[in-house]
Amino acid sequence: MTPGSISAGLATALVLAGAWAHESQQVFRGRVDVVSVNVAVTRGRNPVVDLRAEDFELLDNGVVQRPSALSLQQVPIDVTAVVSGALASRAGIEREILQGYEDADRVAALMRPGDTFRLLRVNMDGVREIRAPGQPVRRVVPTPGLAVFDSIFYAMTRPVPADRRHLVVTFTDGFDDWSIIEPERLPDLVDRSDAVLHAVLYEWPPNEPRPGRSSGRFNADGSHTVLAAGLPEGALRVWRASHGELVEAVRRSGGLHHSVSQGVDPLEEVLDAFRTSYVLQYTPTDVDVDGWHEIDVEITRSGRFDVRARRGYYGG
Amino acid sequence: MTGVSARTAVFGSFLVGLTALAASGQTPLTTALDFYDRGEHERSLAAADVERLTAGDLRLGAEQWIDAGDPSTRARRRDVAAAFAVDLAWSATRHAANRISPNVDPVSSRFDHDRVRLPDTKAWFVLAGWASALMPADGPVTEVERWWRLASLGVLQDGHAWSTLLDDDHLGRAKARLGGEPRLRIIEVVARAADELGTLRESNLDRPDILRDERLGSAVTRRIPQAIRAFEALRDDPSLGGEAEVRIGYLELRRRRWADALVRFERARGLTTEPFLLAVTGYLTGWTLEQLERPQDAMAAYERAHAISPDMRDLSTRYAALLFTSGRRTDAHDVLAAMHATDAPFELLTMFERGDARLAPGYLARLREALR
Repeated sequence: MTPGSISAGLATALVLAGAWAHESQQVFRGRVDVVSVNVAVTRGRNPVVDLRAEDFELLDNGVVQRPSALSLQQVPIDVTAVVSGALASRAGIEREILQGYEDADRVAALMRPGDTFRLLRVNMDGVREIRAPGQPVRRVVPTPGLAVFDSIFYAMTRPVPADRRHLVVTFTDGFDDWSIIEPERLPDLVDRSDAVLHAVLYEWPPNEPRPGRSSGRFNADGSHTVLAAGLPEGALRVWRASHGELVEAVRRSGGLHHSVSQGVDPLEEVLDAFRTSYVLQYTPTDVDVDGWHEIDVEITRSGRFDVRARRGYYGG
Repeated sequence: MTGVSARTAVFGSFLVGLTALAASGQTPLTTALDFYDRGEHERSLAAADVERLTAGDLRLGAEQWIDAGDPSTRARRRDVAAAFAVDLAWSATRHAANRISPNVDPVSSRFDHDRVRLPDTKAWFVLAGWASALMPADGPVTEVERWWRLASLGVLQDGHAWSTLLDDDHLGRAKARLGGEPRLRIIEVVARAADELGTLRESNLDRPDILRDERLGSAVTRRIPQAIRAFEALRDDPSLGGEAEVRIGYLELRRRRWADALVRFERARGLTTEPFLLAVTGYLTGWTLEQLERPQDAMAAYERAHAISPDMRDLSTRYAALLFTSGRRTDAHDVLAAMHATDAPFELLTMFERGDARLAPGYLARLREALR
């Protein structure tokens, strides 16, 4: 069955039910000593999907570990989309995105059996939670600012069973002036989460270098209309700080930045990138259980590969 | 019945209703005032068509309603109109209680005051002076006047109307009439401190605060000692001492003097029994202890505060973040999910910074009772 062939009704029912049977392996359940790592391997911009366990070398705090299982595209995903409002130059983009993801049929076409989808809408009307497409939007008290980081954190706390993958996708320009979570705290929270964080960025602050991995286009003419709109220096300072920490958090989780491109569904792009990543499991040996564990993953097969995985995890 | 004919029928009955209202001289506003006069307060507020009502509508309509009554009821009607106005201004702004535009002062702004709608917090900036003039200028202070004046100041603080409160003599008139009311002392110090320092939220963008960035020893931070001295002077009153200590501790926290802040919070815990202040004390204690890298002590402080106020956005978020980093991920999620489920995740600190706004519901309840 291909993703596109899933009937909308079936997928929606799966999402709404919240409990289901699926075909994935149950290798993780109850194995609290097993570490699962999402590893994306690309050559250029193309995913490499034919690797075997012996092609990976994995170090946990510098100690080589033996992967016990490797899977690709078999593990169901719990997805939370965090869609934020935008600064002046991209105003309205949030509505376009939301219209798509509040459409149950459209979301169902992107999901696979066993996947779940949850939507958090963040704008100055507060944070609205839509547990599944088609369900009523929860009313909340408005806020005067954008609390993107609080919403990302809330998404990351979502309990996800060990035999599933946890994906958080945030749609934002990285501007956050209302979160309780300070920007510099987000990367640390990501380190302690099992979620992979991807960011679909509407725009970058002026003069911020963009990492080479981003794809698509931002502003066609390269201009920064936000500045033209007269964003005050204080707001620019806030934007640079929050944007920078978001980019760092994404990197540390093993996620990617994406841009908004004409004719491309950004969620589909994220899901494609995520699904073509491997899930590598291992039982840590010869390392202390407690504390921070730095993870290094390399490909032993000859050739040049780009490997993307989370930076590490906290044990104990 | 088709959709069109159903609409026609409904519209027709609406016209009949309007005609009847016009014939009787009744409008939604006068009906609401009649209800309020009879002690049917909730029914009154529901009847007021608050979304469309402007400050000008309310003032003119209430004056007509006062004049329409028998001269012997005039004083009663003035009380009712003033009480109705402040009650309505409070209830009309609850849906947007977190949406505040600080530093918007109608005295200096160029907008038509009469056209401000009641759901806008600025409406009470406009109406408070008019409603205050409905209260007696001399003679003994009634319970209605006492609670009305406190409620009015609370609603002004809720809208961050610091300069309006201080400069337009709302506070001055209240002091002249209510004399030794202790709340007036702390209302004044809170308003002056907020006017000088701004709220912490304002520092997000245009007034960098040392708490946000310790490299910035901003002008705001340098004015903190003066505010602390003003709160110190309130400690002689047993009814204000606990709150004064919490507010001093908060100012110490804002200038990153963690140990001094903790001393104040500890004192406050022994001086106040007000649940809201105890929740704020626990929250700020936890926040300070996190700065001192004492996560277990911080957790205990947050737990105390959360047990009192489980649905506050700032407290729940900081508490959840600490639970999460301590490995209690499910607990963290439960705290946040419960907070989001309330539909009304206000902020403890925002309420605290608004001084007597937190007491406005109590003042309004006493006002209603006094009117009966």
